[in-house]
Amino acid sequence: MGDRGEFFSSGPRRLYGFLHEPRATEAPLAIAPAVVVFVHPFMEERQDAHPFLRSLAGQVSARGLWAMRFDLHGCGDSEGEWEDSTVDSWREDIRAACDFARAQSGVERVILCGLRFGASLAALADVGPARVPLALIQPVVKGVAYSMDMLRAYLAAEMVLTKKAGVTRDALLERLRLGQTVNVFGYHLTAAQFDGIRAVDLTTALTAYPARSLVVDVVKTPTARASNELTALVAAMGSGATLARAVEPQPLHVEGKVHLTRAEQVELALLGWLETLDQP
Amino acid sequence: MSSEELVTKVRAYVLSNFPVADPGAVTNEASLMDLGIVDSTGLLEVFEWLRDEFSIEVLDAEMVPDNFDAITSIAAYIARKTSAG
Repeated sequence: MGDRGEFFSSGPRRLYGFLHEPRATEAPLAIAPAVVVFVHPFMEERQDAHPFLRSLAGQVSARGLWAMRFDLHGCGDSEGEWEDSTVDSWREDIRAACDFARAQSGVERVILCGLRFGASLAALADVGPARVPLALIQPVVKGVAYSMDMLRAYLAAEMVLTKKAGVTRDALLERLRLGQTVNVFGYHLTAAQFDGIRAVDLTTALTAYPARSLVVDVVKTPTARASNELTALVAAMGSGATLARAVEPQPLHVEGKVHLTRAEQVELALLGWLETLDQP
Repeated sequence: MSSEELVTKVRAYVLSNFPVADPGAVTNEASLMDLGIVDSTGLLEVFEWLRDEFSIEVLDAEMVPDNFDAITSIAAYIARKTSAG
């Protein structure tokens, strides 16, 4: 046994997952056995966040829980083309990852943890039979804004490459409407993906969420304003949801001056919350 | 904030947030894109900083090198946007 990477199936798709076995090399968390399944963010953010998520999964296993990371269809080491995916197929991938994690670990209880749009997908995955606890790190709450940010990323890349004014987002929307794709950092965004992402609204989807949950607002400085969006999300989720604040000078999902490999305040927030899960 | 103060603030932001091997070699007029200091994801970070720090929302039509290619051009853009109120 031990830590291991393996392929598993999500319908016709072959995905790559990596299981971290419980080590309990540090004080074990006082909760019943569980497997924490991590969902990565999208596009460039996935690559930049990889060391952080790997470290976070390692911390969870060091405290005595199973942890699993995996690549969504068309991402990382999983097979397929990214543009063949949709929001619904990504949700299926998460459900398949949870089934695989349960089967491999022999532990039924799943906790989903995601970063950015990975958190949003985790929240919408509906991994049943009951709603599972969610740990959402800087989730994308409104898909409308996020989808427009994707198009803005295209404009930024074009400006840097061509050193001149490029197209507008309206022109990119027209391309999508005509069935063309928009290349965002090498990922060919389709109209189906764009529409699916636009439809995401966590505040509505998670209203009165029945399981305990954590939302982590990651800020750069101690004096930074709290996110109104995340505050509203937690209020909508109800009394089972906790809002934590983590001050991390370096962004978790964007390459900065220093490549982030650990985010200690996020670790503390996640591990501290996990410890409370079985408390009345 | 005076234009000199804006340049100082932008310079401090750029040097502390982006990988710069030799800060002394980066003049305020140098092309941050040509030097590889700010790439497309970096540009998005600059936009986020402008929103957080100056409440400036960059419009699509404003996404041109004249506004963002150098420390002085970013500072001038901020001055225009904030004085336009």
